[in-house]
Amino acid sequence: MKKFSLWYLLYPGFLVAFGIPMFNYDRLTGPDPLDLSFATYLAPMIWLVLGAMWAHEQMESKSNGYNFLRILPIEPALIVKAKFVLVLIAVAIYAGGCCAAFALVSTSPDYLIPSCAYVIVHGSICLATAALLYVGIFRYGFSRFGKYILIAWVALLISPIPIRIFILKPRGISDAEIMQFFRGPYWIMGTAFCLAAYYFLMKLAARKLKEKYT
Amino acid sequence: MEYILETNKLRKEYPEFVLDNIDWKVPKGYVMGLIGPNGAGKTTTIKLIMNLIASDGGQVRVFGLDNIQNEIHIKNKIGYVGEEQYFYDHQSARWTGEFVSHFYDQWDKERYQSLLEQFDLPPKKRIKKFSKGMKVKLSLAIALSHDPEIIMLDEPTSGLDPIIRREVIDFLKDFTEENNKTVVLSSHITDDISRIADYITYMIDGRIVMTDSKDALLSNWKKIHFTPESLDKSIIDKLEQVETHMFGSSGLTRHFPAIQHALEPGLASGDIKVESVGLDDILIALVKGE
Repeated sequence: MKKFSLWYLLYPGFLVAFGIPMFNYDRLTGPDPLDLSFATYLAPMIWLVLGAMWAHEQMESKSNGYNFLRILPIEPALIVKAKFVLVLIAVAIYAGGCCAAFALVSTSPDYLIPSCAYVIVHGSICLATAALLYVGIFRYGFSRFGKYILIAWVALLISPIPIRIFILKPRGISDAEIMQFFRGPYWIMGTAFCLAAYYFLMKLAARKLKEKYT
Repeated sequence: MEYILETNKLRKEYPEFVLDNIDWKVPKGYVMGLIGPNGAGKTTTIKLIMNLIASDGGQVRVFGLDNIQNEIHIKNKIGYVGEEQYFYDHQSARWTGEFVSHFYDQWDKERYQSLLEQFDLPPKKRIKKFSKGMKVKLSLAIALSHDPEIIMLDEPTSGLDPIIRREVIDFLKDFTEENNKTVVLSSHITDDISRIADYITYMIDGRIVMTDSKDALLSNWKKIHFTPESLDKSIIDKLEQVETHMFGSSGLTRHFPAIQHALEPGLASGDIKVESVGLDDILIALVKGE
């Protein structure tokens, strides 16, 4: 919880550091005070949740936390649920914070909805990724699998840069065009799919932890 | 006699070790000592009872309930101290007590605080700065603060210095006498078990080779010192570990009351002497007899 609380404290800092200067800049230049590119800058920050998750699991591993929990009268499913809820809260707070900030600035749903959708989709993918990584941890143990969390975290955190440079820019795809996708119904379907995957992976992770325990 | 814990044909296979069809009963309200050399299967048995590892066969019943189907209920009623002490060691003893209290149906906060004081454990100090002995005491404080019906101790004094070891065992002795709790204490340190156990189980190579009350064991097992002509050959043949030395011979019997009458003439003349044995002598005899 402590590791995650650090994340809860840090995310408003990211919002301020990355968001506020852009809002001010675009107030002067854009058609809506909320520029669509804000979301593309802010959304990847959600991947920092995986960093918090890594730190949390490293601490569990270091102090043999699962062995300690194992002797207590507590179902493995409850341990897994608590961890998944923590990740969900962290993502929800960040995504919610972004959307609230967008809503404060924006004057048009045409800009607000795709911006929020973009962050929510990022959050949903982040949740599904975190769930997959948890399944890996409970299946293989943190000592063997922990490095993959770091790899996934760093890769996802920096992914917008190569995507922008090597995929979007050569094809001439602008932020506005990307955002067009987030005006349609597909992002809702994608989010629903990721949340469903999150739920089922939570069940799978609980089963893996129980298997690991015995 | 009422049994609080029973195992029935309990089995666990490892590549180089098999715990073989363990049938074991622990009477309610007594201290059961589980003695065996390293690698005998004591820890495996206790872990199977606690459902910390999966069995390959057999059944464990605690309070008459299956230990897998009723794991949470049973763990609520067992105070467990393992061979290794695991905690969130960047946290304090106070935090740990607060943390674990959420998982137990009955958590006696005052008892926990009083045990910390009794054990001289600083409540605010990080556990990683605790010595091994302090960690054992903290485990014990946690194990005793949720009013368990069984206290399960797996080599709790292993690796402790004699002073702390004695302190822990004496505390357990007083605690169990005052509270009439059932205790299962596994150890290869027979002195610890001898001090508090009512019943003893010997385990060797994954099998239970003997279970009896401590008093019965110590009255049945005796070392007989004799001169060759003072003892009937039929009795000598039944002795174990017979050794001959310059002053005569000696051997162990596990049926002293049965031969006591036959020894009386030799005892009267001084040609035979009977010596009490310790639990470790019995263990060594059992290991050598295997």
